[in-house]
Amino acid sequence: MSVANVFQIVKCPITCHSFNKNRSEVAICPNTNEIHIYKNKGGKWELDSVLKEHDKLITSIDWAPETDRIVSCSQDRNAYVWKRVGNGWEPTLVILRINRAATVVKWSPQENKFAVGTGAKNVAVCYYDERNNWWRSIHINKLRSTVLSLDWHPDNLHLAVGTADSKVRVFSTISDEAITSNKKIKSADTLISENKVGGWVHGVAFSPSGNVVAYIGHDSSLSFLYRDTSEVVTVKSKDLPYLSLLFTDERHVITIGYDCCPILFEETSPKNWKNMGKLDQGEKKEEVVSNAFNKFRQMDTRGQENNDDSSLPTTHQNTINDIRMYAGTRDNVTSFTTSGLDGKIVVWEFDLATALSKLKI
Amino acid sequence: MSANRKLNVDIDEDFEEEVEADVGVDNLAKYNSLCDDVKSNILKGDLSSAIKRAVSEAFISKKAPQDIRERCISTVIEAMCAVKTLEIPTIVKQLTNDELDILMKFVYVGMASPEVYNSSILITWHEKIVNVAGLGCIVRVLTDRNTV
Amino acid sequence: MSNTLKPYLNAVKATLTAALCLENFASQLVERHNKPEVEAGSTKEVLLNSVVISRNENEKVLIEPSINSVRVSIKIKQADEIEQILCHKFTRFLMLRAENFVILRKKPIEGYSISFLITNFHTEQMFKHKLVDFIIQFMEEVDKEISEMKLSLNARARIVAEEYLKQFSG
Repeated sequence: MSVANVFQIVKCPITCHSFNKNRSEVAICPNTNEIHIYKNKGGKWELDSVLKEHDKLITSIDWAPETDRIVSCSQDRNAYVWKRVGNGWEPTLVILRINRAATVVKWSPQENKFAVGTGAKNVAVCYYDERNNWWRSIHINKLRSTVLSLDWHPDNLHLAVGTADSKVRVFSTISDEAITSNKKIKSADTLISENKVGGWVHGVAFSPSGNVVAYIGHDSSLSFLYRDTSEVVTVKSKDLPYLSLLFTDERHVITIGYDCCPILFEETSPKNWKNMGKLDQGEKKEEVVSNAFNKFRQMDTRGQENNDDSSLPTTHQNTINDIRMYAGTRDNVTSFTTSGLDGKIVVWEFDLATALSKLKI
Repeated sequence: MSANRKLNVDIDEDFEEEVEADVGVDNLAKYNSLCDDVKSNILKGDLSSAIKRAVSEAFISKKAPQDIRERCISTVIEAMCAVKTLEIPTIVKQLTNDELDILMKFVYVGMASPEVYNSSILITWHEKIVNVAGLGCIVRVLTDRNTV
Repeated sequence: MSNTLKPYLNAVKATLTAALCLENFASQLVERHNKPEVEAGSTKEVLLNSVVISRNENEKVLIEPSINSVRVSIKIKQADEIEQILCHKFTRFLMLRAENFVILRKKPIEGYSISFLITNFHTEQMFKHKLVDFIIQFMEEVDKEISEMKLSLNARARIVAEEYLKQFSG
């Protein structure tokens, strides 16, 4: 387990990030209403284009690897699908019909539709309308509060939604055949399961097989719902709450959050998940000069009494808020990226055997 | 007429707290027996089992009568204050993480009334619990809707 | 009772670190608005339990967390009337300049001397652990400031009284 690369892309918080298929470009939102696309030129990331269409903070970006389209949603109640046109990008209108902010957006595994979680207590699943060249939405209305996270099942049909009323729900969306049959569809409200969580549900994810739903609660807990038996296993941790998670394979999950470092969970025995430890051991910067010399130097140059070392020992200096797969397949992730409020994108190499051996020591 | 102006039109959309299980007669007996057990343990001088018994109930329902709640809270905090400072770490080590979460709730409830309870001992308990259970314990006190 | 000061401040530090896990949350009631939920108070599910950390009846800290903001209210120790007046003047001085202070609230919560409002925008711009350190340092120094002010006030009052009464003794 090692840090392959640390990129200080911007000096402000990165709200969300998403790579394209060959990882040569990354779309980020630098805590504003613009999307910045950076291209990898010889190991360095340079600003390639700025997509300006939203009025308010962009809350989520997702880049579909196969179809090379970016979907973004923002607190201005809009979402746009960006298609590559020449050297730039052009937005396509999405008719969301929501009256509050959009909070999270994700492409489905087959990339023919996407789901938008909103503050209007519903989820808008959007399908492409060929005739009018826009994306129409169908709402899932059985929610009682703002949607904080969502994830698609690998079968392109089921959706897991985590909300601020501390509940995680699994819905079945409308099949694609029903959409193309042009019948009038009122809403897609089929609720499959509902589980109570100890706090707001910041992150939710399906395992690679789709049988397990993992979700994060604000009470520093990570829970696993086994869909075949409806059993829930909860792991409560001593750390600060997590914000997002990634399944690296069927039995391992990496979480990130307010502790500024990724943490590995393993299913040591069936239905028994354990916190294996922090993946970022962190090394305090080595003080080559002695502390006394440092102290007087600080008093002289800055008039400060104490040796104020404000940096944290972890790679990320502030909360990590997004984790994405970088290399490998869905059921065997070999590398992942994290972005945080410190403006850094860090690429982590993940080898299960080495990680576990380092943690056991 | 003005009463209509004050009607909450959003009441169906507002978040409802999960309805708690009804506090039946047997539940009251449960709290009473808890208080008696803890008190008897304190009198015997067996403080570690007093604390263990005190945190064995998950929470005190908001629907329970006020005097029962106060009796429970004061009994548990009395048990905590009776423990000598040096023995606190040993007792804390014997408790599971879930029990430490419940104990932390009592610490905060006690600190909310400093004129009644001794805050300095509660602060020592707070420190020792955080040493073992970490900040996650405090986060759970903040997020858990089932307060003591 | 200074042997309880360090544990008291550590308890406040731990609770603040736990409470300062904030994220951006657009208002659920008003579109295109983004308010500190602990101040708005109308969306019950995003508010957390408020906790009090107290050292004795005269010194306590109230922490009210929510999903995107935390309100920290401090009751400063005021032993006698002079300290009450000094504390009131000092906190008023700070609160008049609350905009420059960034995280200070212009009015304290009832029952407390001074209040801070920290939002997710502050934790994005500033380090969380430094914010917590700042509040702890503030709590330590405000007591020192008030004692110092009281001493200098007494000293000045003594000098003034001496000068005035010299007229009558000479």
